[in-house]
Amino acid sequence: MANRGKRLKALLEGDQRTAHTTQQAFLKSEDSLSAVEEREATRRDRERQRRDELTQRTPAIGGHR
Amino acid sequence: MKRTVAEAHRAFDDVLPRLSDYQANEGRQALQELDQHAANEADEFTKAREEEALALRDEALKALTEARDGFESLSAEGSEGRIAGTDYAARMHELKERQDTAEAKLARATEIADGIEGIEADPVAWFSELQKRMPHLRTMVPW
Repeated sequence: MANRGKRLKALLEGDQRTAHTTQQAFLKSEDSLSAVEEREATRRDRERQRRDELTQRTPAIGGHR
Repeated sequence: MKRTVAEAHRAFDDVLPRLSDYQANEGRQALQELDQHAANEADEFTKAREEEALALRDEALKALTEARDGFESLSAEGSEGRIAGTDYAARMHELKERQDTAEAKLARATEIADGIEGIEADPVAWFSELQKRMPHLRTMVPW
């Protein structure tokens, strides 16, 4: 017989390396997404804080003559 | 009588004590031809299955490499703050689907390779099973 099965399995075992590299890249991009989301959340908090500060500093309309 | 190759072997062993040397030699030669026929059929079948597995493998490797490159460039864009979180998540999801599909193809190719290995280990058993399911493939033997 031509030993096709064994040859094919050897190739496919070697391919696990590529699959592993892709999985590593996925995990890294997952971490990076968390960092992006965290950064966006921080920015939103800062903007909210700034708006709150501005609101506190600005007198209410009609409140002062 | 029409038999599978495995049945032909078993039946021959049963009648062998009653056969003359000439008949026994004829029978052995006929069995050799049946075995060779089974091996040829198995060879043709495994060749086609191998091509199928190799095609799946090629598609899977291409997709895995593209997904890897996609994840890497996404990570870089993310760390440079060049992409919004929602866009990032959408692209990552799409790449993950490609990765999962590719891995399923590699798993399918491995199943095919296992099947091929089994057939190659015993082509007569494989062909006999096929003959059981498809009686028209059975062979006429004089015993």
